[in-house]
Amino acid sequence: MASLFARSAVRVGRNVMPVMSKRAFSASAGRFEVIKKYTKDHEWVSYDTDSKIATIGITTYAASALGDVVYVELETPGTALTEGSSLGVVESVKSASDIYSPVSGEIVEANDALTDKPGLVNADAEGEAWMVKVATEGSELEALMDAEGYEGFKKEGAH
Amino acid sequence: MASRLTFKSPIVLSLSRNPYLNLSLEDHLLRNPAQHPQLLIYKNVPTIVIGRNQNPFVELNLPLLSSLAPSQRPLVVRRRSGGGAVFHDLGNMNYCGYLPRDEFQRATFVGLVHKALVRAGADDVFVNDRYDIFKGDKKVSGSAFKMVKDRAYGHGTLLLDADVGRIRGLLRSPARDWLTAKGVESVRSPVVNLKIHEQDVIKCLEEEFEAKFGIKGVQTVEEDELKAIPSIIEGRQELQSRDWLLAQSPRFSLRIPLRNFSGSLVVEVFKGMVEKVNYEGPKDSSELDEEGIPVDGPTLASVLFENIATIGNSFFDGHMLQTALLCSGLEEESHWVQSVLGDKIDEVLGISKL
Repeated sequence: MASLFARSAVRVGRNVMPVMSKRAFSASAGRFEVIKKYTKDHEWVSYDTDSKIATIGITTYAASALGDVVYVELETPGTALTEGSSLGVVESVKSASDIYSPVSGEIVEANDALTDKPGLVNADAEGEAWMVKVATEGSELEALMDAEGYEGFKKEGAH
Repeated sequence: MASRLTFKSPIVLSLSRNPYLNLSLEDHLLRNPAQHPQLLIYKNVPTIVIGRNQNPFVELNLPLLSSLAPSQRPLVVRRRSGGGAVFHDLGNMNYCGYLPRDEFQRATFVGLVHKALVRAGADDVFVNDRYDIFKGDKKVSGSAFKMVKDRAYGHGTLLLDADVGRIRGLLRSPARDWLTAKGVESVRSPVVNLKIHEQDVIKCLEEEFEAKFGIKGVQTVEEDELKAIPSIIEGRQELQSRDWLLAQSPRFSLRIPLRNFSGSLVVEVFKGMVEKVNYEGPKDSSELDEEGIPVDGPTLASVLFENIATIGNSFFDGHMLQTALLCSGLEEESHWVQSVLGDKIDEVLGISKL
């Protein structure tokens, strides 16, 4: 704990900020909040409330259900998405699956590594194999499931 | 809404032989699901059907297709499901089975069809690890799948008495050695006909469907009924559009070997449009053109790219590239492109002028 505080202090010092009130400190901590949510279509969204960027991919569960992914095609940066519009296509064992955007916004980055290495989706679905980053106000996130809710949803589906 | 109620039977038998309408019906049933499992059965006039993430320039022998009389030339369609290129004709029967996504497995309908074939008298048939059905060492049924939000289908071909020799040579691109493409490759297999009567197969499919899902009932659909459904007409238009047939191809490049010059020009295509042209070859090589002006590879590449851009907002195809090469003073290269890509892409792919 001590070292964490010390590092925060250094950071504050670098920014040449005046002595912080408690209120300012908590606001600053809140800026770096990252919320991870899940959809019923087995996608994950990781939303950085500071940058207002949502990183989207498919869940490990979805990747294992799809089997070996052989091709990934993603919409390109600049594409405007609405909730439910297609952000890409994944093909695995002769199945073409559309991936739908859980949020509205604009694609700011697509993970081109997946074009060359589609197998990353199976290897690290919720990490390296993120698909797109979307600039969004994130208003749709509220309605999505948190980790616990998604676990329950998967169990339900398995019945 | 009326269209949705039209297809409530467990088994739907399309009487149309038009692949654009039948594939659009297939998609319509996916997006307007019945409250129960469903099976669509249809046949098409001779048609080469490529997978969702394939490329007509890679899969097809376009010059050979261009050279055939229209009456002898199969249609070409890009389907919405994954997998590789297949051939349909009136001796081939297609099935498409629908389920909610969480109940769907790739093996579900392939297994049902396999049982129906056995019931209809086929022996020595089995499902392999790619969910295809083989008779001995030859393929009799190829399968592919499509998944959207909460629905999925598995569909496949059934070679009953197809003219399997007809496509010989048509599914091998003469440009293949010069093309580098992302996307999905076709897995080639020898094929054989089952030689079972169509009516027997349909009857056995009905019986196996009832045995598995406990429901029965068949409805036939006339082509005119399909044409009255707006989403099917829209689907047909999409399947015949340049955007679907050309722009949906995964990223690819064509390497054009230069004839009077060392190296090659590499044309890179993304979403159907030429993105750039690169020169690949010795860095210091340059030669004199007809007027005695020295030309180097990178200059040739930029001249070709400019000429492609001048032709305008046109999709990459053999004809466009031939014209741009001619304008760039690359006549022999232009003839070569015609020999490997052909020049009647709209006609061969059935691109609608609408």
